[in-house]
Amino acid sequence: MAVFAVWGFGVSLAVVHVAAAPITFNTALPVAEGEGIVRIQTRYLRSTGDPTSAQRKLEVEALSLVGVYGVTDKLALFAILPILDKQLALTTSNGRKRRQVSGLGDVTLLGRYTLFRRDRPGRTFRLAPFLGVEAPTGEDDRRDGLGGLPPPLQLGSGSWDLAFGSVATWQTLGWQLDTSIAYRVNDQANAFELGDEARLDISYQHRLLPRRLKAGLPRFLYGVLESNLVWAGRNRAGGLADPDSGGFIAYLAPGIQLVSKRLIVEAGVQIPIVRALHGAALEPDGTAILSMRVNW
Amino acid sequence: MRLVWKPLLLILLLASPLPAQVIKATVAVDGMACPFCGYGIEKRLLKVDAVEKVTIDLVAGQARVIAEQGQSIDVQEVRRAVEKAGFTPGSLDIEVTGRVVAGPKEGDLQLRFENDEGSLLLVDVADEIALRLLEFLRGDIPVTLRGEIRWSDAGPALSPEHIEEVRR
Repeated sequence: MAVFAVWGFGVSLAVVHVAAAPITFNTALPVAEGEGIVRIQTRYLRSTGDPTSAQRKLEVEALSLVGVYGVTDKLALFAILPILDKQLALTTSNGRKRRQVSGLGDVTLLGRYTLFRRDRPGRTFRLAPFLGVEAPTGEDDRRDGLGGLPPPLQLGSGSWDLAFGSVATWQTLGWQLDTSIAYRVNDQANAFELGDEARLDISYQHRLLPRRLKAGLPRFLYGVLESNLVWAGRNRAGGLADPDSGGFIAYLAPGIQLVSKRLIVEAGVQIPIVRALHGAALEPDGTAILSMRVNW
Repeated sequence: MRLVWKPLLLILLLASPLPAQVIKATVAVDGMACPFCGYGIEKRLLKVDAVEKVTIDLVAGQARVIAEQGQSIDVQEVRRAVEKAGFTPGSLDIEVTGRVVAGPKEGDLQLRFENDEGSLLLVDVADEIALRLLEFLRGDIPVTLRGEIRWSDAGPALSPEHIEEVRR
């Protein structure tokens, strides 16, 4: 199981965010009642840090479609539909092999409720807990010429998994600070259970342009610096913990964000600065993110 | 001075169909700090009946709505729209046309809406404005008032700060 342990540092929890928000996690800013926001995000993740002779190389391309709807001024519902392409190259006794899978992943449905807000002219502070479930919509029994794909390389987990946490946002006309704490409980399916995941995310966005605001709704260019601390538990297969899975990773994620009233275009890179993984778990090199949000 | 004009209203009560229209409103929006959020407010305000145009000013922290020709905007709906967008409405200034009539209580003045669909009580009226209101009341002349909405349990009322005759 060590071959795919890096997948525990999830893709799914990190894509749930809308409004003028951090690039790598969620925000507490509101979605207007009866209105919608659509987000299209692409992520490219590569992992090559393999301490074993297998020289594994994992590449994941994820296209996530996120729909958000404001049920009330406080409650927003999110639906996240990931389309995944996973490729693993590894050296075996029969030479270099490639295992690949692509298709629809597990769909996440999530609700976020604004528990507290303090609005002032040109600034706001909000606190919003969230609760979500990841449904086993992705296939979990794909096979290739080498046999059945290991569970972490499958498109779906096969299990119903729970995610919960809370996000706080301070926003002014000049800057925005977001912080989120989240936990993901992974259930068992096909005698395999991905390790649980805990995250602490912080984002600072600073308005670079325009330097002086004009009347109306001017476009903003934000410089973004984010930090993601991710802890993942060991995977379990057949009831036994995989010693080569899970651990702790800290990412630094610089990025840039262009915000207009209808559209946000953004790009960022997650660079691992601390990788304290268990055993021979595959180490990520980083993740590139490009996304667009449309105020529908 | 207030004591002088109030008794006069009792004598000058009129009963005829009297139009009143809120043609513009500017609402302060607390908590609005980015253009993407501002558009959420714009979308909600455009759903308010009779609103033709919405202008958001991020720096001023205001949203301005203009009514369709000949229509009247419900100021309570404007406030509610800001709340539904997830923000906190602040002061609400309006521009309203109508005819001045006597209010429900002695000494009160109000603008009544067309076809008796409602009225807007005038409160905290400065003496100078009050005297002019009386002139329009006597002459049954349509007026344009600008001022801030004051909220109470009875609903919105207008504190007029500017008054002028409607030019036809």
